[in-house]
Amino acid sequence: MRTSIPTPVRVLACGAIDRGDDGAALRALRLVPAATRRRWHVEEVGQLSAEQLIGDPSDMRRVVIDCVAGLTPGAITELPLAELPELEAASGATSSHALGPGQAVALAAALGAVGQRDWFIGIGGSSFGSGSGLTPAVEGALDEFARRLVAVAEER
Amino acid sequence: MHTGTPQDGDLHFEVGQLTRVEGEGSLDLRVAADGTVAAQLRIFEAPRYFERLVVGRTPDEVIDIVARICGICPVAYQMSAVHAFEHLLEVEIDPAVRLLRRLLYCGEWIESHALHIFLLHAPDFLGYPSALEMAHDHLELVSRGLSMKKLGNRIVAIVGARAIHPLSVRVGGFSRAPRAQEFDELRSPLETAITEAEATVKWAASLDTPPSDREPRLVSLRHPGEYPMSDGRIVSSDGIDLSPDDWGSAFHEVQVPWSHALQASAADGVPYLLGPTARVALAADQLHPRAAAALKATRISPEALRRNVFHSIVARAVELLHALAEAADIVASYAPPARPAAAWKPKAGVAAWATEAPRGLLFHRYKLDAKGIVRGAQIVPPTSQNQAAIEHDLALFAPAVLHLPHDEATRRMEQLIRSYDPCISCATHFLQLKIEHDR
Repeated sequence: MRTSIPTPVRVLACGAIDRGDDGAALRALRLVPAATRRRWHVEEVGQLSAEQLIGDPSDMRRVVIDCVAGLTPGAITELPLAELPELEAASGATSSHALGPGQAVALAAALGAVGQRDWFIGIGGSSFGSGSGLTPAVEGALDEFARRLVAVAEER
Repeated sequence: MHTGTPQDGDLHFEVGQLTRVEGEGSLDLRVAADGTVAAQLRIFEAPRYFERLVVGRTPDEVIDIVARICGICPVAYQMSAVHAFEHLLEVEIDPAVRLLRRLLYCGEWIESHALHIFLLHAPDFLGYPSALEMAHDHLELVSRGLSMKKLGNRIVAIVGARAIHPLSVRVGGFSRAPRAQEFDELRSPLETAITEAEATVKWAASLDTPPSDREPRLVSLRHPGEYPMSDGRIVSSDGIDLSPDDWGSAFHEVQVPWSHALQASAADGVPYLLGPTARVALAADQLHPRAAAALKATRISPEALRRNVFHSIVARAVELLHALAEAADIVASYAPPARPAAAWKPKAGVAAWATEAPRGLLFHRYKLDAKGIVRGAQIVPPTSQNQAAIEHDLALFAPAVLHLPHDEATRRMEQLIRSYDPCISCATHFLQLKIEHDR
């Protein structure tokens, strides 16, 4: 009997749970069944930065999930991680961080640290205030966000 | 950058959005007909109200909350808060816990300084609009910076339970102290990074530096037996010498109309400079021997380091090396504390302390009631204290670049601002909120 070795999966969940829609990725992660999550290497990374993407084994599939300003609230988008800089540019969103997530991915890509198997899933958000919960549009799309995460991470 | 010639004959320069700094700010420069330059660093990032958020909370809750002020220097906020509380509550800290905290702080200095040197400031010196464009021609440099940043983050994660907004710092110590073998993975990367940091000091000193001459008042902590991080007295280059809980006797905060961030000022109104340049100048004799040797080999005199704002990248590189070397020493000798945290009892009073964030002195002051609940808070980050010095240096520097093409003049002035490694997000958490109700 032959058994295939599963692809190692690393999920990088971005955002802050206490900053409104910014917590969407972390909340979606909690909707994923524990047994599924245990198959992944899960990290809550806050803000995505380039060094988080360097040094992984080449066969590892990385899935970055985040809330995206500039997309329609609640809309979900999937794309190869290498295309995140284009999404960021197209959405017109600017980061108040010195290096935004798109720049972080572009930097890691310049070092050859972003592969074709790496993926990004984002959900549009509109409110990022301290202490507030998810907006209704994001709350309503959270189950679908979690389902898409599982589908992408497990390559279904 | 937009320029114009208003009817009054003044020239007006505006950099609408500063790039490669943390947070949202802009620069407004007005050149009067007589050549006088007025600079205003406009910080318009929304206020964040942390000083109100901590009211009604316990000291341990405050330590977790203030870490959220910054994703780059959360440890600094935790360290100033925890030391303030422990000073008031007279908690005796296990020497092993104290070392562990220095290691945590070293991790933060490493990740913060590596980010700034290689990814934010280097493009200015090498003539690129960003680290991304720079990476095409200087891949090794970017790779070195990211590796060091990752190493710093890893140190914070092992000691503090996660790299961003760590969780383990508690009044009296830590919620958990790492086992010695958890540091094994750091030994080899630290040795590699120390060698690379030595090369970085040499590289930073070789960079073409624009001329700049100023006579700044420098302020930092100074400790008789170690490079300043969490202990020591607040000293200045012109004789200030205070206990770290006594910042308010020589400095105060003021609101300026063009900034959401309060500015800090000395009693005499003279701007003062915090951060790596101030620390290296005031505590060079306490640098790790490898960092001291690397600084000496640059042949940059202490006078030149202090007077030319653009040499801050050298001071930052020296501190990067210091933090790596000290981290390696602590890891090599680490033995876990007998208990991760000492016990403490609540007490009413004022808890205050200053520690050295990567960008400079960070002062916290809390009023506690008899149950140990916070009833008032004041948090004074380094960027708010450096604002006046930035504006002062811009006004001095601008006349030398105003004849250049607009884009080049903009680039030079942004380079000067980035020399301070400003963290605007840190600086905007404290606008005072006044609500009036109609009765």
